Amino acid sequence: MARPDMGGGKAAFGRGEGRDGPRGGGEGRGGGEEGAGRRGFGRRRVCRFCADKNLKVDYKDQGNLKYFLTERGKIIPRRISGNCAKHQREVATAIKRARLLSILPYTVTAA
Amino acid sequence: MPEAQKRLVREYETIYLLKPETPDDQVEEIKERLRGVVSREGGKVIRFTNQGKRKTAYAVAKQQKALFMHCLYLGKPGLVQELERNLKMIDAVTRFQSVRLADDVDLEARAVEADVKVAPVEEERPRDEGERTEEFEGEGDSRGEE
Repeated sequence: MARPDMGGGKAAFGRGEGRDGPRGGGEGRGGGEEGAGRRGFGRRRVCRFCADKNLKVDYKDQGNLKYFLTERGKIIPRRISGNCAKHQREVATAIKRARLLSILPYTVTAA
Repeated sequence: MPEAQKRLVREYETIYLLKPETPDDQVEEIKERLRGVVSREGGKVIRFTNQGKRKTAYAVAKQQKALFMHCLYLGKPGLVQELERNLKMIDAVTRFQSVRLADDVDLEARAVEADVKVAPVEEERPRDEGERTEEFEGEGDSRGEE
């Protein structure tokens, strides 16, 4: 929690939430502590949808979209997910569609 | 004039959620009713997919599960309104969403496919345990970061 390098709110969001989100599971938190210095998720620069032309953004595909959500159910920003603008837009629309159909959560409460 | 003969329509898909306790024959009944609506409006149902009972991400109609149905069809824009109006009237339908997939599809070119029933996708990983442990240590963490 008390990391010395935790500067502004922006950086904290990127490191904490962005990385823990897609990984999920119990060990996500533990791993976050040790690798705090790295940008973690920001390493991947290429958009996965541009890299793989066969990969389509589909709002019915729960497994793939989960990758772009934090544990709390927020959409992971572009600077962390590495998506290009076009695909981030598509992902965001798909997530919002999936939320309506209760495929993905609007929010995940801690309690 | 070949353009006049070719009927260009749009391709849509609608996903609707049914109450989990809906009996099978009622599911069929709703399916036939919707098929009737689509053909009445000059459209064509390509296929219905029964995606089975799945856990929802949050409670829908006070239920943690819902029966997911997917319908792929062709038709004119007015058809969607009519279909959604019908869905609204059926009590077993708790939620629905229609999405346009493609424009200018030839109505005759697409073949009608058989209805499919796929096994519900369940999450394999034991979510309960993972979430619980994480909550304990994550409590102060998440609050501090957000």
